[in-house]
Amino acid sequence: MEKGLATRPLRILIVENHRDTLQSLKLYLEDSGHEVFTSMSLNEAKAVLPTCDCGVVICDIGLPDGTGWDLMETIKSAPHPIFAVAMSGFGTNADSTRSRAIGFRHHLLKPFKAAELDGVLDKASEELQVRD
Amino acid sequence: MATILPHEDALFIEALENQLRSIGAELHDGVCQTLAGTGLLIQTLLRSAEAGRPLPAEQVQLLKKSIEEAIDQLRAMSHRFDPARLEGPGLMTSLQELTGTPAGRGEFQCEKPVFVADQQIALAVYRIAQECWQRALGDLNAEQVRLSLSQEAGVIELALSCRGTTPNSHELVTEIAQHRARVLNGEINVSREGGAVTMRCRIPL
Repeated sequence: MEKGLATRPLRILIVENHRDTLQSLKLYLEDSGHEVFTSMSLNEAKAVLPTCDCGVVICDIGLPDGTGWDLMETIKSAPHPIFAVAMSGFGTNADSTRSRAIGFRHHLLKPFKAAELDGVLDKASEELQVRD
Repeated sequence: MATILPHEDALFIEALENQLRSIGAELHDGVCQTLAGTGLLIQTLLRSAEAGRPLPAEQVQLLKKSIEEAIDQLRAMSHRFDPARLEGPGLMTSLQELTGTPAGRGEFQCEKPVFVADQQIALAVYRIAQECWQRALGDLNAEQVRLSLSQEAGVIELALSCRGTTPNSHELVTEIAQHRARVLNGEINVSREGGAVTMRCRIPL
């Protein structure tokens, strides 16, 4: 099996307002075998999330119209469990603590390497499989 | 046991620490993010290559764009730390470049050409502009910042006006900027008009 390929394809929503980061992430995850949906703002994510039936949400904290934490209410109201991953940039130890406190399963510190992302998605895959 | 430093020494150390922190944050949130995206793209292409699949032109194009963006970010940073030529028309050009990032939030006005022969004065004016610019757009999150440069009766004047925030003068102008102006017998004043706060720095030539 090719390195980094998904053992179990996931439906993933990426919420990221930096266009190039979003595009690189999308290409990488699609190439890994996942189905990927994207949003570039909080409001767009709130609209997309109830319709895309995603098992995983990877959400930037700094968004143009709010924070990634504001999406948690929508994530929790989904009819099925969602493995939520937050990500943010410089000086974010406090961000990481807050993310976990409100229900994000993991907080990725940007920039992250492909292997870190693969590790988080492997964990998501395991947890979602157990729940299924 | 901690030594109590004289006021100015403490200010310099604080300014230096702030500057180092700001460089760290800029590297981390700028070029590091771009390179992280580059890493994901290379990983994607490597998988295709290892599996004997043709490399998609779209992804190679993105990779090229990503590397070029990283080079642009590093070059812009390097110019800000070490503005190569400030004498003559160089100060105008460098201030124009400074106000171009981030795009859409700032503008530079210079109605008549300003030529500065003294490199020390040109560098001080540039650093004052740079420090106040970073304060306005970074810490104070101003929506719009206008920088202007003029010269009249042997005095060079740099003005920075920001909207969308209501900073106190000590928030917009760093102690180091005040010190830079004083060393050259200049002065910095801050005033409010309507919704804008304006910093004026006047230095004799």
